[in-house]
Amino acid sequence: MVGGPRLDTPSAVGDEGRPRATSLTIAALVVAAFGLATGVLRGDPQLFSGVALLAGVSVAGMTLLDRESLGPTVIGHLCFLPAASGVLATLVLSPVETALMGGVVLAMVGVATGWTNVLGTETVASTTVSSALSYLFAVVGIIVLVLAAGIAWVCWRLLTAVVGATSPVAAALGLSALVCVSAICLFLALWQLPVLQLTARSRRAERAATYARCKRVLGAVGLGAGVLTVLTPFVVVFTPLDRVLAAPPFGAVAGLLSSWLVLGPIAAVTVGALLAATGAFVLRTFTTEFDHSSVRAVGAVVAALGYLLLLAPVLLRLSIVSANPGAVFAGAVLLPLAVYLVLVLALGALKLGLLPERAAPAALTAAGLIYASIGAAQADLPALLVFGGVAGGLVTWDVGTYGLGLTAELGHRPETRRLELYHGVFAVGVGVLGILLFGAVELARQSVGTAVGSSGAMAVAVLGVLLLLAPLRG
Amino acid sequence: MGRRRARWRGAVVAALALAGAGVWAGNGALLLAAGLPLSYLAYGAVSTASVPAEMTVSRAVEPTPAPPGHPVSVRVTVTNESEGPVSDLRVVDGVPRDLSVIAGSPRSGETLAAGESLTLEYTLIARRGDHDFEPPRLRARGTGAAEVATAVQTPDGDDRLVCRLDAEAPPLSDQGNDRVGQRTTSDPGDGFTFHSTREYRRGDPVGRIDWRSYAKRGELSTVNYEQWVSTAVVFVLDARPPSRVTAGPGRPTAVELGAYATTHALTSLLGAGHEVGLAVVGIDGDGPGGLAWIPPGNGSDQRSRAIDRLEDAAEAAERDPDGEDGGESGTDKGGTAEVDPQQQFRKVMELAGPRSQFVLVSPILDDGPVTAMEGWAALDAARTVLSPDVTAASTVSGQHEHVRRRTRLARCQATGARTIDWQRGTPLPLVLDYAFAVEARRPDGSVHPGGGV
Repeated sequence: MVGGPRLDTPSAVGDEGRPRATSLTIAALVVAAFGLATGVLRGDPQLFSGVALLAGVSVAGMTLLDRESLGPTVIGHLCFLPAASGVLATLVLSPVETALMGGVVLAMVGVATGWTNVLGTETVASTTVSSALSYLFAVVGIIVLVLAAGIAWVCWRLLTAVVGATSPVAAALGLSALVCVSAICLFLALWQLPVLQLTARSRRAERAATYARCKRVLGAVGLGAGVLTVLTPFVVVFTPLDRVLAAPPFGAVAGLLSSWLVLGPIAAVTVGALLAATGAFVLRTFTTEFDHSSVRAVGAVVAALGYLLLLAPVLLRLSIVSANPGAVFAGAVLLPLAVYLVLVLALGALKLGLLPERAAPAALTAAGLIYASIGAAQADLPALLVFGGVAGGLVTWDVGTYGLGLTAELGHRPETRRLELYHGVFAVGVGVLGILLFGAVELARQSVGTAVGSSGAMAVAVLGVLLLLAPLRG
Repeated sequence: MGRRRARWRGAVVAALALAGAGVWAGNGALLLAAGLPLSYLAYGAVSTASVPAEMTVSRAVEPTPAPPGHPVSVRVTVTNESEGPVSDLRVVDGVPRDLSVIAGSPRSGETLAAGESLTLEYTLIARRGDHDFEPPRLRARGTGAAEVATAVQTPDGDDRLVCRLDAEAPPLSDQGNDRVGQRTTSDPGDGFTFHSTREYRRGDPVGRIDWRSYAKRGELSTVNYEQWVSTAVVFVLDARPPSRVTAGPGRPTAVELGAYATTHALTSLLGAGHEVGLAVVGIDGDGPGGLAWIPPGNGSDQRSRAIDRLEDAAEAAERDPDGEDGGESGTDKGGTAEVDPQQQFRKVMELAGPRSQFVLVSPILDDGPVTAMEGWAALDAARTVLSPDVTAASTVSGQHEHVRRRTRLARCQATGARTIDWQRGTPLPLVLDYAFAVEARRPDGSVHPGGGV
């Protein structure tokens, strides 16, 4: 059946379509102007450039995490968590007032999420789960790596001890233990590697029989070597075997068996078989029934490896340069948890309606600019900047919601740039008039002195205006 | 007077937050800044909206009447005849519910100065019937966008799209004699294939004089060709449930497209003096064996009778797409529940007789028409399959169905039938010209492979 005359499809500028592009451009210009003005007034025009980059990369990562294919998902992980952690670290470590920095960051995130259309309940929830998964894998990976390194170190010490052993019994014991482990690893490799699947169908039955024989032989060798390893100490205790083996012909053989010439290849085969079996198992596990959830899991695992490989050198360098390496490590581990806390708070705000579902980016931008204005006032920056920030927040809210309404009524196909620019000019004009008017009042207040322009008197005046305008309720 | 919308509740919250922060920090600038949101609140409150009464609206629909499946362009122009500007005007045209927009948008918005116009242009796909447009809705907002005024204005110009099967009936061919017959007789006359020569008679066309013979013998002689004669053509419209499908929402069914093609073809053939018959397979008719049947003829009312039957078939396809209806009262014509299509195909063969040509109009979405073609091959009559393509190429299943349909067309061709694949976007006159007139002018009457138009 015909669904109606509207057959719109989402455009590249998100589901809301082109009319948002104009409003978002105005919002972005307002935020950039406020950030630049604040930086200039504080003597550093590039004050927010670093955090702007991090905020942009983290939102880009959030957007990529919303994709369904593996490549963008992995890149999204690698962008989001480090950049978002960096934003929080900047907030904590920056000398700029928290309210000012936090407000500007909120406004930047609002504009960026507006462009990419990702500030919704579903997207934020999906990002939280996916990123938390990658963080969990990274932490588990660190633990597994530490354990594996410990086991490898113990094995290496045992191997070097066997190689240097002068006792023939110890040499035989070490050799049998190594053969046992090697047989088990080879058995595992044959079990996990898809050798039969890769064999031509015509030779598959013959090859299957061969591999069955190999497995039986490996099982027998492993069992025999294991039994030998267990029984050798008892045999040595209850029989004069050690004296027999110390005799000249056996002594030379024992020395050969405990040399690198024999033990080295066996150890190499053991390690190779173990790696092959593990790799085949991991690949099979994560690629069976490759669907959306598999993409998320595999993406999280690859991203966790990426964190370890790419970020470990950076963290190590920071640890070396920093006076307190423990704090760096703790920060690297704990900052992601703070990121997830922020995401959960955002999710709660969306669920409770504090952030309107469709207009969340506009609301976030406006709230950020007003919060930054409060920070600017606390930092004793000029009152005009404070008024500009507040007016900017109102302008971004006005044009943002106007663009959304326009799209909701007309879809994204019609060309509405002129319409929106016309509205935007009036919105900015009212803001500029307001800034000039309140700037003049502020100037008058300061020139008159504290008698009339005191904070108490101003508070009473504002309260009166609020009461007068309350019936309008927006 | 318009309706107000709350757009600045957030501004009230912002004012309270700034005032609170100002009081908390003892900061006069923040307290003053709390007044800024209130200025926007006031701006929204004083901004009013109304749709000027001097606004004029006109609509042009072209072409109307239009044949089924034909793109129809709609142009709506809204002009601000008032003396002041309209800061925010949004227009939504009332597109008929059964039609779908395939290009453009029936919605638009603009800031209109005095005397300026806003134009909406969009394209619909026509479906059979009369489709009334709703009047466009105009919605205006003030500069603050807090107040909304909506008006419905009846436009000048077209308010209806008429879609008829017999709309725009062009001739089948701009040249030639419109002969469809592929049979030759032993009688000499006009034609293409050499038959004999005879003595020149006064008035013979110059083009038929045998100039080579004149050069040899010095005597004028006239060439006779095998004369082409027309035969009865029976159109068989496939209106069975498998053919009652569309290529997408708001598009005509394959039965409707087939009825349109049949209407044009029989109109042109009747105009050229040929005998034309019609059978509709898939609905319960009142003819022999329950077939909707019009025997070949060329009377003055033959066309209107045929169009009535085709309208009934298209109506039945639209009313009962699944073919589960037994008729309006169980016994009326148009029902499909009790119909045996293969028996109807066989009945067509009996009724038409061996001297008729068959033109089967079907989307060929199942094996039924192929079986019928194989059955009609026993008559050794000229057969043509005209197949409107309603498969969707944008989906995997659609492409699969498209391949299966092409295979069925090839099977029809293997029986000796000529197959014409009427793909979407190809004008029907071009298809019909290719299907009949070109074939008729070929001297050997042989069937060539291919058929995609």
